Amino acid sequence: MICPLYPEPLFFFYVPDLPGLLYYSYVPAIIIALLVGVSVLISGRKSLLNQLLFGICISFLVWTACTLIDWTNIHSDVLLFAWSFLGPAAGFISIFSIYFTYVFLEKKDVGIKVKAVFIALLLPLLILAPSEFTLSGFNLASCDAFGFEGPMNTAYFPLLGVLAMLWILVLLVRHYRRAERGFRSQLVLMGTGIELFLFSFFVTEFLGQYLATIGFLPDSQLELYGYFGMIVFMVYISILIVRFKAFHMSLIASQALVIALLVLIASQFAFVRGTTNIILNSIALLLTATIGLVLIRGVLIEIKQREHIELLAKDLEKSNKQQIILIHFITHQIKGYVTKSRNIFSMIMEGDYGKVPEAMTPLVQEGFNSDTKGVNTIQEILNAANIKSGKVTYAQAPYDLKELTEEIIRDLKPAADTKGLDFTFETAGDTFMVTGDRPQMQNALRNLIDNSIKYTPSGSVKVTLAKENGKLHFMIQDTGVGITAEDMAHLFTEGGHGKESQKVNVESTGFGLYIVKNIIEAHKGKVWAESEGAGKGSKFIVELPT
Amino acid sequence: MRFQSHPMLYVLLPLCVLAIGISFYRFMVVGNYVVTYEGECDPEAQACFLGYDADSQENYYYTKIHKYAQDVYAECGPDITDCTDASICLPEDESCTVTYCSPETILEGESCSSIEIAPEAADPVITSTSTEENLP
Repeated sequence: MICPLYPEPLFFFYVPDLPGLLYYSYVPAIIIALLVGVSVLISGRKSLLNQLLFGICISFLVWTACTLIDWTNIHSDVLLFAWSFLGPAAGFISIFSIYFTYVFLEKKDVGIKVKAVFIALLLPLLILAPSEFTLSGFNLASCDAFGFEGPMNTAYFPLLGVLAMLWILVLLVRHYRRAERGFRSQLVLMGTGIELFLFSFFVTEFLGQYLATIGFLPDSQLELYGYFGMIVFMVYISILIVRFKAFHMSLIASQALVIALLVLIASQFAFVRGTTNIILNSIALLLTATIGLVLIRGVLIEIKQREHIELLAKDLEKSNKQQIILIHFITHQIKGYVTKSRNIFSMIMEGDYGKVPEAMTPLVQEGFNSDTKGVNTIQEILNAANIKSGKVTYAQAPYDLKELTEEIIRDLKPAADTKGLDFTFETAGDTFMVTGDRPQMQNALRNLIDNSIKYTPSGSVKVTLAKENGKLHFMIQDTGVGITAEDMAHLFTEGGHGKESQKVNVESTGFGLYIVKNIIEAHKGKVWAESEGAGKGSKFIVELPT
Repeated sequence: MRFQSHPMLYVLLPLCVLAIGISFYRFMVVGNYVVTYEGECDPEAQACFLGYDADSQENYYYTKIHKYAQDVYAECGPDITDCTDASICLPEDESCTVTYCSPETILEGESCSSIEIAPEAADPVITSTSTEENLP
């Protein structure tokens, strides 16, 4: 049937008598949604997030195309056919928006139960789309079907829109609290964009028709403003693409997006009427073209720089991994050779091959000491490499820290006595029970005390163990070379040699304190150093939970 | 692609195709829906609704017709303009209603043409509009 009071549209969609706002709101929204949707899908066909954004864009496209047909066409059969898909299209927009938000936030697909809920919510809209629950008839006089809409169109899909807005809001709030700072900006951008889109889409649609029905507004043109929400959403998505490289869009796709805006403004010449409007549109096109070109250049440089940095970071990571593998290989091999040599010296010294001539004894002793230092150095490098690659596991067993400290003190006392240092250990308490890996802790504390002895040419090294505020404090105070402010900054880092310390101990690997810090932190403790400067001694404090 | 990993695609896509097919058949092929429009009305013999044509700046008279689209199409083709059968209910119409203007049928913003009927007429109360179904 043809609506007898209305003219046939030109080029299927264009009717000169219709409000210009209709085309201003629909055409840009359709073009932008199509461009962004297709660009995002092309740039990552296998990415679920990209597929869902494409789904939102296509559902929106179906909705706007059907609505445009309903505004312009005069054939009741075509009109009703298009009208019957407004509900399903709006339903898909709601469900895809929720699904998209889930995947954007969780970075993974939703479970089968959530998918079942999505299907259950969409099923009534699809099953009942061709039935009288959606549309029952048509008014040829007013050329619309407003008086014949069933509950699926008047209640179900608007409620689905409200449900989507609330659901997404809850998801956003829940994730914002636990999101990392960097991701929060993305979350706010995406969340604001999608909520604005859904709000403008569903609320202006509902308000436009409701206010026109009660006679508050002369017609339902208010709903036309709702489509600008899609443009806003797509702008937010574009910012995410360019600023955060979300959706993994390529450089070409980002440029195409900016060019699309220019095409869009140029296309407005097809609709503008009057000299003033044409001049204003020309100025807008010129300004956008200039700013757009500057923007493209800026984006080009930024993206190229970022890609270069990412490439360097990948190379560095690869190189680090290879370096660790190489260190392991070399140190294992060398440790084997040196250990074998050390054992030979040890056997010679113990007389396994007969009495060692007196003239040869200092030489054998020197060989043994040198190999022992070599084994310790290699072990230190190996330990640091293991810590860095996360290969170290820590046992959890109770032990007495006081007993452990006394054991280390006993071992190191000869070295301190040789240098003539006043080496003391003070403690107030019988036992200091802690839980952790005893051999690893022994390695860490021994390293700290050994360091103090090495870097104290004369004076004293004082070790204390005490309980303070429910925590154990292990402290070594010396009158050694001290630490400058510059050295203090990288004291516990890999290879963090101090300038003063290198003068005293040239054999230092620089990994000692790095290993200590990792072991203490693995025991949920803290370690730090204090010094008033070069030549003024230093203090190392370890704080451990009881 | 397994069903468990893409259940939405497996369930919703066939349903979309089915819904498009059925909707196309209902609206485009058989015309299984009601149409409502303004039928011709003689203000001297019937109680008509009063309309105003902004283009010709003249009043016109009409009745409200409800018919099945398939019946209207069979009687008049796609355009009901100048089709007299569209303004009356025919025996072969599956369902048809012609609504005349009366206090019961008039809506806000509408007005009726008010006429006197001859005393010898069968129905003396013709100024009050009646609703006739399946009129010959």
